[in-house]
Amino acid sequence: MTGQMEIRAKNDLSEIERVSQFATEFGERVGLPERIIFAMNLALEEILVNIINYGYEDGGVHDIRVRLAIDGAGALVIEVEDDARPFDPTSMPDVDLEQSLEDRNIGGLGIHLVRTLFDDFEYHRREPHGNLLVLKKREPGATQPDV
Amino acid sequence: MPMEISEVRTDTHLRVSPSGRLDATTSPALQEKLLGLIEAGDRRMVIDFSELDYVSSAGLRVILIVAKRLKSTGGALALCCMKPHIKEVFDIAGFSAMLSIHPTQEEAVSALK
Repeated sequence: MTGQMEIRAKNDLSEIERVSQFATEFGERVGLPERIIFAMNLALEEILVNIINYGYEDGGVHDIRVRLAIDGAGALVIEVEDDARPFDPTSMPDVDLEQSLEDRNIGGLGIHLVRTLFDDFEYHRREPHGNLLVLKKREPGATQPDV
Repeated sequence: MPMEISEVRTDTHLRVSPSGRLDATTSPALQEKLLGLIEAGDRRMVIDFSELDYVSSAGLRVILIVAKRLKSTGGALALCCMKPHIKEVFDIAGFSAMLSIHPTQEEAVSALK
């Protein structure tokens, strides 16, 4: 893994913009096209919102770590690691795109976007406590793999 | 960062233009605003996306809620002027087939009829 950058965010929705700025800077530094930076920010928001809203019962402050890198094969790799209770978003059912307006459910859209925008989306349980999500986009068009 | 929402009311419809980011922190304000307008009687609405740089699933959810509410009151909603990467998000979510989305304001207004 070359040029990995990490940011730590608190479990608060107001942190999302800071993470987004970090991701945008990383993307610009490695020469990612704008639409990939946009996809990265969308995915990060989805994942962080889920962790922040559903991950903790104690009302306390927790760290969430976001790591971004371009790997040896030129793929964009995003890792989000937390110490929250077990939650595997990759196991959520997919959205039914055939439904009409009246029948459409509001939930599940965010994960659907992540699945569509990224090639790989993996969940790993962290022991003794926490979750790790790994997203990969192969051939994102980075021009400078070494940060 | 607050999102600005401007409104223009004509004798046929209301056009709403949110600007900046429509994300998890800003979309509640848009939802409140639009549902309030519908509650107060607006039935024909155009949402102009030209000033939006970013829309996440939180934004999609607000649009869906507003679309359902307008439909259930016998009203109409049209969306317009999306930047390409935002249109792509609507396409991926399957919203483009379900909602009235147009490149220009004029086409959106015509679609309300």
